[in-house]
Amino acid sequence: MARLRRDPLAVVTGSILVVVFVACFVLAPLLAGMLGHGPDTIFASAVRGYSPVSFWTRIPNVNYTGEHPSGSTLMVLGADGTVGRDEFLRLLYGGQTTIEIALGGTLLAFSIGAVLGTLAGFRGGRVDAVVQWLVDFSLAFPVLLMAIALGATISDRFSRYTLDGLVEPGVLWLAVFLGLFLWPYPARLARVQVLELRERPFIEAARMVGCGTRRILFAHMLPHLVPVLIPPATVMFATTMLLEASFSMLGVGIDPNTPSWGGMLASQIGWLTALASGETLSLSSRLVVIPSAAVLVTAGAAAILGEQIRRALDPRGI
Amino acid sequence: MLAFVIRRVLSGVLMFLALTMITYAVFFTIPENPGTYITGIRTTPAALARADKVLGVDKPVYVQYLRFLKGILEGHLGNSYASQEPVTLIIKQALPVTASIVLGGVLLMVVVALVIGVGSALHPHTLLDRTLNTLIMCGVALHPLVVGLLLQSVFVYSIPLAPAGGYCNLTGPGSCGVREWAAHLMLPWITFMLFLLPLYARVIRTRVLELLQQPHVAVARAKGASEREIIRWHVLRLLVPTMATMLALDVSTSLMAAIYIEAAFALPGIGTQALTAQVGFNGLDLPVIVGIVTVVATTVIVLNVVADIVAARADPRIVIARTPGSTLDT
Repeated sequence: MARLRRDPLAVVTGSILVVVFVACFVLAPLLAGMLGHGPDTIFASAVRGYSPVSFWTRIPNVNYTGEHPSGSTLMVLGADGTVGRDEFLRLLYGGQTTIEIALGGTLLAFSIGAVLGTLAGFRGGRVDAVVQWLVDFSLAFPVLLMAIALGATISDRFSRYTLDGLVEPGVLWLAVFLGLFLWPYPARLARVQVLELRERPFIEAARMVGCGTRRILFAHMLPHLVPVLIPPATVMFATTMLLEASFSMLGVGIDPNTPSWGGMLASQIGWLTALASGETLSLSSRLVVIPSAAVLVTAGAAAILGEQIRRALDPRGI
Repeated sequence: MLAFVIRRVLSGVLMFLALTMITYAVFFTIPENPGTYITGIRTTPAALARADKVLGVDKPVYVQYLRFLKGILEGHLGNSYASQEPVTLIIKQALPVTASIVLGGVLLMVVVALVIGVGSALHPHTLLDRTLNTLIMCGVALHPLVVGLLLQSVFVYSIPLAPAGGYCNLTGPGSCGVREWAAHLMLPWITFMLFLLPLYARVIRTRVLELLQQPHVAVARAKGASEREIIRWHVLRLLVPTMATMLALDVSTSLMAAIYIEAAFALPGIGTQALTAQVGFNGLDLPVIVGIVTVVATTVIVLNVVADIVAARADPRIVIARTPGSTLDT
């Protein structure tokens, strides 16, 4: 920990992550209360002609039902395209969705992986053979193609589960799906680590003084397992954020009306495709840059922090 | 060794059966009417039943699955609902494109990862090491589709260095020669490289640092080997098994990345075919999707079995490592 605190890169990336989390989970509802509208509120006045207003624009309060409530609203990052919603609020609320999916998927993958990997390493024999086979099996499975097939049919059925409204519809289902497909990576790591630990003198000593299997696993092995699994977990957190975007791009991700970084990016793919085919566009790049930058900063910071944690924890200084 | 090979091959075959079975079960229980591919949306139940019979989907799923397995043994994967073309033909046309992207991309990625990984391992904890780590880590956080489209807009239109999208065959009819082929694939390869580079460069860096602390390197140094010789003969050579296993494990991930790269550069590969089959006019073109999943999964399984056997030939400890309960990992 002290080594980590002396590492400028770790301090910077760690602070970035804290800021992003606070902004998305604490600041977003406060800001929505202050501004008086949510991420889904539609402003007719935010779209002029066919172009949404840009950064830091004050717009009169006109909504689509034609009512004219008094006053005006500040669009900090402008409007989110021709629909006319507040891009800044969508960014913050979208962060909630994306981080929940990425965190949930990663935690689930590492829970399953740690349990099965530990079991395989500790028990050995048949159990080990079965777990290793399952690992190879899951790794050979084309996740994205599966998502395409499942997305259309069963995701609607599963999207209803929201943990009593704690998360947006679809978040839980995506997190579970990702977790079920990503567990082999941590399982491999946990297995090797447990196999190595099993032979160490301190485990032998614990066994000798009469510790049960459960006590050995939880009190003696777990503390050694966690540091090994944290750095890869941060990288997986980053890649699941990209997977969330991938799913949205295929139309099997979160509902497009629910704000999420992947969804915001996916809604601008048409713009990017036009750009890539050499068309000159009057629209600004703002709507592509904002969610991309959010993912880049958060996922990049997590991955770099993970690597710095690994370096700090490595006793050989590698 | 022979027992190890037999066990690996058997487990591969078992895995293939399980994979195709699950894929088949999942895809063919999706509620939809493939018959409408022939009859159109407005149809009568009788016409639909006839169409189902033509497509062979009137039988229960397990009968269809057995027929599918029998087809594989005879070398065909059924016909597309949409075009009625054999799925094997569709895959045969698309496979060289995807293979070109992945193989070229992997080659480029390995070279660059070696340069960066070894470079930062030789100067650990310096500014160079930190900067490289930070820069390549951004690759983890960039979506290949976005990277691909941006690269294209910059290097095709703003600074015209690369030809506009599309693909040209390396061999066969309509071939345009190696130069043109490589020119068309340069940007896809770079996109692919950026995607996998962070993980590989990091592993190489760690592994090189580990190897440099090994006794055999100390012995080589004591015997007067130069640093260059040590890197060449005592470090790089030992990276080969690590890299082979990693690459075999990442085939699946690579193919997923290829889907987006193909989409970004409008390349007619496996991923494009899968996407077309998914968003077809009359719903899912199931035989095409199942065929592609089967081919992809088989590739992954075969490569993993081969990688294991090759690695085991190179390093006998691996036979022990794959044996249940062993403390070694590949």
